[in-house]
Order: sequence, then C-alpha cells, then structure tokens
Amino acid sequence: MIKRLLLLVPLMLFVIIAFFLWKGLSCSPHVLPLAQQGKTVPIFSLPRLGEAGSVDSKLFRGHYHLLNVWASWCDVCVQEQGFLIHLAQTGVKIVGMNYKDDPATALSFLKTFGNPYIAVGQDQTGQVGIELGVYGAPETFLISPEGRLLERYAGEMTQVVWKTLFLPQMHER
Amino acid sequence: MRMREIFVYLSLLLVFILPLQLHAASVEQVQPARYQALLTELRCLVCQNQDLLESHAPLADDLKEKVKQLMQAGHSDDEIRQYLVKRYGDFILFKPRLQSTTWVLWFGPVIFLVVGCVAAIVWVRRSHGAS
Repeated sequence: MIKRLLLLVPLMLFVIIAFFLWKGLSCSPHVLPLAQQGKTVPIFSLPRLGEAGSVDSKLFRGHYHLLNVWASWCDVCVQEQGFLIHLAQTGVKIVGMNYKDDPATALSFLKTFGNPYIAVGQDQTGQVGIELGVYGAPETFLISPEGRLLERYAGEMTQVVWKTLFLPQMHER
Repeated sequence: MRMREIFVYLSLLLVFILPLQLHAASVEQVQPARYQALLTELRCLVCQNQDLLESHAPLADDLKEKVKQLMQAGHSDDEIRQYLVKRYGDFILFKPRLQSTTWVLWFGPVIFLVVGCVAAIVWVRRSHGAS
C-alpha cells in the first residue's frame, strides 16, 4: 500500500512544479522589482530645470514624496501628466527628474502639458537614474517621510496604480 | 626668425601633449577582453534578451559608461556585478548567482536525474526479483 503511494511522489512533485511554472507565465519580465526597496534614497544632487539651485536627495524628508522620472521624448509621459497635475492639486508633493533630455524641449513640454512638480532636477547623463535603478520613462517612486524608497512603478501613473499601489503605503501621521 | 620660433614652440607643445594622450587611454582600450566579457554577462533591461555589448538602447550605453567608470576606479568584476545587482536586482545578470533562492534552480535538475535513475534501478531489480 505504502509502495503504491510512493509511486505517486514524482507525479506530485511534477504537479507542484508545474503550478509554479504556470504562475510564472503570468509574471512580466519587464516589470522589475525595486531592488533597493526599503533603503534610503541614494544621495544625489542635480541642477534644477529652468531655475537656479539644485534638487537633492535631502529634499525627501518630512512628507511622503513622489519622484517622477520623465522626458519630453517620452510619449506616455504626456498621458500621465494630467493625472499628476490632479495629484499635485490635491496636495501630493511631486519632484520631477528630467531624464536624459534637452532642457529647452523639457521646459516647453511643461509649458504645453502642465507642471505638477515642486521642483525638477535634470539628469542629463542618466547616471543618477542608475543609482535609483531607473530603466526607462516614465517611472514614479514613492518615498517615505524618512527618505526611504517604498515603491517604484514603471509605466503610466494612473488612478488605479495610485489607489492600489501607492495610497495603501502612505500612512496618516 | 619668427616662423622658426613658432615652429619650435609648436614642436615642443606636441612633445609634451603626446605622452599625455597615451597616458589617458581609456580602460576599455587597455583591458578590452575583460571589458567585453563583463558586458556579455549583463542583461540589457530594455531589450532583455540582449547583453550590454550588443544592445544599442540608451540605457545600455549608460550602463556601459558606468562599467567603464568602475573599471577605471579599480573595482573587480565581482564588485561591478554587485554594484549593478544592488541597483537593478539579480535580473541584470544573465547567470543567476548561486545563493539560497537559486539553489533549486542549479541543483534541481541533477537531483531529479539521480532520484529518477535510482528509482528506475530499484524498480528493475524488484521486477527481476519477483520473477
């Protein structure tokens, strides 16, 4: 009787592994998890777009912040701008990072599609992007009041993403 | 007299500049094999089946630049891999590293083979025994 049951073991193992592989099929390899989740924002300092001064990592203290990676050459960024402006109007603090872009075209992008940012830093070489683990635009990071990276969403920022991914991680103080 | 002076000064300038040029050879020219080998181990996260050597994506260019900088600063291959994995996760390496989470991936198939062979042998022996 036990011998008969033992014969089922390879089959059971196969079923278990097949289950995990099946789940794996629905994972998108283009969605990279945030490797530095929970860690403090890497120290950086970028020149401001359109004004004097700098945008640096010390900015992310005291409140929840969004860090939005965008560029004038990024079509999806146009689509999410409306929603970002809406968020900004409700009091969400959004810092922009203009990624591998030309300052003049970036400024005219903001003029045309609106400016939801409290400040915009220029990462023209993409080197600060590498520090954060940026692999494209648009990307939006959620940063805690202690300056920790909580979440990163690669893609268009929408109401659904905001409600399901970001809002639950923002606790009232 | 004027022309000769100019010529002499220009020659002197060249004599001093030339060694500086040779000294500033970039790291991928000095260690091309190592540089290229490292690039083939790293995944382009945009065109994900390509490595950094073959990809033309802008991110690939940025990462290549970063690898050059790190090599220039004297970091080892392992340190460079660690640097990138820290920021982008294990996925940036084509070869998954041997660690607790990938243990099954690396040893699983071999273990299955061994278990299967043992089971087959035991089975055949039992059948012979019975007859």
